[in-house]
Amino acid sequence: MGTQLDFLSYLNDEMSVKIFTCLDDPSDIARVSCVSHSWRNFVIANGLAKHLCLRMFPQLSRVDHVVEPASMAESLVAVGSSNMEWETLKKEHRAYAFLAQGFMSFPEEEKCISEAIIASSTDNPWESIDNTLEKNDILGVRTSYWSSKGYSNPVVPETLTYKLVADLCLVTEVRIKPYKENLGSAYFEHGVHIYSAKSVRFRMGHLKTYIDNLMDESCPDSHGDKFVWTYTSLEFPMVQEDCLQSFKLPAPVLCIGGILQIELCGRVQRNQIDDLFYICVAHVQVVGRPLSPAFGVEILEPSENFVLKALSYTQPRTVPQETRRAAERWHRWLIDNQPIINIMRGNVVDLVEYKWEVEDSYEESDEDGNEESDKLNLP
Amino acid sequence: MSSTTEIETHTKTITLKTADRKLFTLPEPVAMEFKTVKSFFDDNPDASSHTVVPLPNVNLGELEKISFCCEAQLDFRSRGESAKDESKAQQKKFLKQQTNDELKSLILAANYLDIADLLNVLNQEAADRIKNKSVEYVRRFFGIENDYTPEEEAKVRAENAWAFEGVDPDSDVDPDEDVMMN
Repeated sequence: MGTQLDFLSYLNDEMSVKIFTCLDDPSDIARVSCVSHSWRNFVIANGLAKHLCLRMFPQLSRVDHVVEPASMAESLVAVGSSNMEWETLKKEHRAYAFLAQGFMSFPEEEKCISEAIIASSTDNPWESIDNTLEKNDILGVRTSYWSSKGYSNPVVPETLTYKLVADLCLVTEVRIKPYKENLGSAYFEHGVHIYSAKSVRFRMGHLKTYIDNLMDESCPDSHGDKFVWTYTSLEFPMVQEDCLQSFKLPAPVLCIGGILQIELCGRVQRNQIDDLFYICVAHVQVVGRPLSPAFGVEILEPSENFVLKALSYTQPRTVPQETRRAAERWHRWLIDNQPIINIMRGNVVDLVEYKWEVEDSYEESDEDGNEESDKLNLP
Repeated sequence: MSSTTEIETHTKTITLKTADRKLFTLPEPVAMEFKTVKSFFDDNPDASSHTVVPLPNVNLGELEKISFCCEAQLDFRSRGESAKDESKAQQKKFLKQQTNDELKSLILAANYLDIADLLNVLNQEAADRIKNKSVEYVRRFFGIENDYTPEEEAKVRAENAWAFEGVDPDSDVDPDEDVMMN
């Protein structure tokens, strides 16, 4: 036939949309919008970028509306109301096209955790969840790990809750290293105890917006009410080995709200001293693609809907070295000051049994915590 | 490809009249795959199988190919699950033999004849052919006039700069004659 007329004009919109919906690469949609004015208008009017994103991540159906950087919003003020619908479609096209690109090409990070929020239980102040952010096992003279409280029933689960570096984050993998205790004492058996769990499961979601400050909560048991989980994974079996175990999600998951929780199900290791079951974790990593600072979210409570905020249309660079080092210094300080932080969080421990760690020497002592201010290492 | 004059005496046949004034006869079950033809008979209860159905928007060439595809698909379908792979392979082979122009004509014809399954397959093939291709290739493939001014085009390309990395280079193959080999 070799017609020079626009092929699309022979087909109705529905048919043309059908061809374009077969395109599953965001770059193809973007290039299609460069073909001509009418094609670009077609792509925008039919929300092709949005539909592509929805196909990739159905959770995006909870987007209530899109907002763009303030600088762009100002230029729309003068536009008449009849054009508002078109301007909204254009805005959605820009945001979703860039979001789709983000899914495919924003830098992948191995350290998507920004900070530890709370553990379901902690045995001692120096065995806090903050230790799990530290890759090295030995910090000075301290072995760095988190320990749950001990239970005689191995079925009691534990949870570790973290804040990610981005409010909107694509998560592909979680890595967990259980803690291995070396038994070297003459009084007990030689060997190793590895305090892994039977299996793990992951949840992702957001903080309930009416809770201002996690640190204000005085009762750690109520932390279950602080979060709304919008994704729960299947259970992954865990092995009783002290290696960094990789749990790859079957498909990347979009974490909306930046909160990730690890549930450790089933205890396998008894402690030789008190014969109770514990779970202890040495290190946790979350691997994925942070979509902030380009994108932000604002949850609209009480529904689970949210506002998708396009904050910047600049392709992000990998996190600069200096920022990484600063984050690591912060983690170190958190660990060194665990006792105070735990009290602030409400993980109050019986002070009589409290043992203070001193950075340059390790000594078992019975002194109470009154002289704590002398021993704090402030950055 | 089956000859247009094949008539199976034990099966009812339907005769279609194409845009280029040619008559084409095919078995009734195949013709009924074309929703447009089916609607014709639904809307005209007086029509018999001898009534010639006018199809002013389809040429003989496309009709023959489409009829061939539909007949083959009907045959595979009747053979059940076991024929699924063979059916897919045959379809793939047929599609690869079509030039870009032929593919476009088939899409227009299948759209007019309203054959949902065939259309899905053809649409996917069209999408596959423009995947990762340059904007110029897509324009030539679909016969689109570039109505951007150079400044407008530069602006819209800059907005989508990330999408232009790793695109298949335009070889000297003209998309109008591009045929997929193997």
